[in-house]
Amino acid sequence: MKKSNIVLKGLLKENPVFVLLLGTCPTLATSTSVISALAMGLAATAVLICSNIVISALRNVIPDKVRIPCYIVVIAGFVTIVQLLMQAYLPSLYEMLGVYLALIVVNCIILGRAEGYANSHKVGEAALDGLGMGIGFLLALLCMAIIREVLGNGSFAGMAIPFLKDHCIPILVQSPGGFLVFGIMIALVSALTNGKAPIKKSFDCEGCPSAKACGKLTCSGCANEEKEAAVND
Amino acid sequence: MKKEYIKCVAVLTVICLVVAVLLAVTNSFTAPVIAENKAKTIQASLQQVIPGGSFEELALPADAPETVTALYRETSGKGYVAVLAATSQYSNGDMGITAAIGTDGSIAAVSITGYYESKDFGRDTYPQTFIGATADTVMDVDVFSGATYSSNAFKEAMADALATYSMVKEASAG
Repeated sequence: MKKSNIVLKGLLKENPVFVLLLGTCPTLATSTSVISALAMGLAATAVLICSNIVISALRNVIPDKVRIPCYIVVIAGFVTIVQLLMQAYLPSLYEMLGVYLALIVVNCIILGRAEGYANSHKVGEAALDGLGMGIGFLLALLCMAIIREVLGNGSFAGMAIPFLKDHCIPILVQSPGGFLVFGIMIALVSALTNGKAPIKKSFDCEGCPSAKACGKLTCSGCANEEKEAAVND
Repeated sequence: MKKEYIKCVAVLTVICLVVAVLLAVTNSFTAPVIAENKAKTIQASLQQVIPGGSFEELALPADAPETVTALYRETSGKGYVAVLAATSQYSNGDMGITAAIGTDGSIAAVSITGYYESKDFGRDTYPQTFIGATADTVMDVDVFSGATYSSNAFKEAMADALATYSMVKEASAG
């Protein structure tokens, strides 16, 4: 795959929010204002790029059985670094994002890309994938936030818009409005991409990312692995 | 099999150690900036609750509640100011509160300096419902529906501020 395609696929064709439907919680929670959406998008992008690079670099070192704890430690480390930097140098943004900044640790996009891409690709490709997915997440958040803040609050990035301020639709900045805008955006993106979502993996043992590590003897792959291990012992 | 387990433990331990070192390095240069920011915020909040006042920090009584982190006396006799750090079940950090207590022993003004709760109880409006509350009436103030844990934590912090004020007054009278 071309390097540019790795980045571009995250923007629309495999957009993490509107196509892969990952990271819905922070999307709905932080898209009530453009500033918080921008801050959340940039923080998540930084963590995504860094964690993808480290996980890709360590892909041949991390054993399969402990890969998820390893990924979580790496991701949590980067999130805490971003959190400390924001608390020190951007305290107002840190306060605005509140609990959702720490929740980047369990953001499905980051863990999903670590598990689904970074652990099987080279460092450069993983970094580009992180960049593309991060920008895709940022753009999705910004689209949602612009619609919700402009129409729901009559303002843009905190600045009041004269006519809209008196004719806003308050439900859009509340939880039901978030779901409403989210649904409309998914429909729009689906129409733009002609509904061609990426091919899903099969749900049997072979399609399971934990197949090798789970140790279930019902799966032939795992059974072989167990036998090999027993022979080695 | 044993080798595999040893490798798993070793790799996870090394990754944890490296991450811990990186966090320690980041903390070493961000901690002073964060502390400075907090001090500035507290100083600004002191001026907000008693405008134009000059403040002298008092030693906290030994049995003062843990939520009270500092107590100041306004030098011209306008009252006392308690700096509090409260937490609830849904906190992602301390809820910073600065409360002025008038000479009559009631809450005179409240300012929130940090808010990391998952629900907003109305930072600008809810604290104002405590103005005029005394040690006897503070627990009668209603909690905020939809943010019960956060508003309860706030209410208990207000009660702690008034209790600390009473301790200091008793100590100075005795």
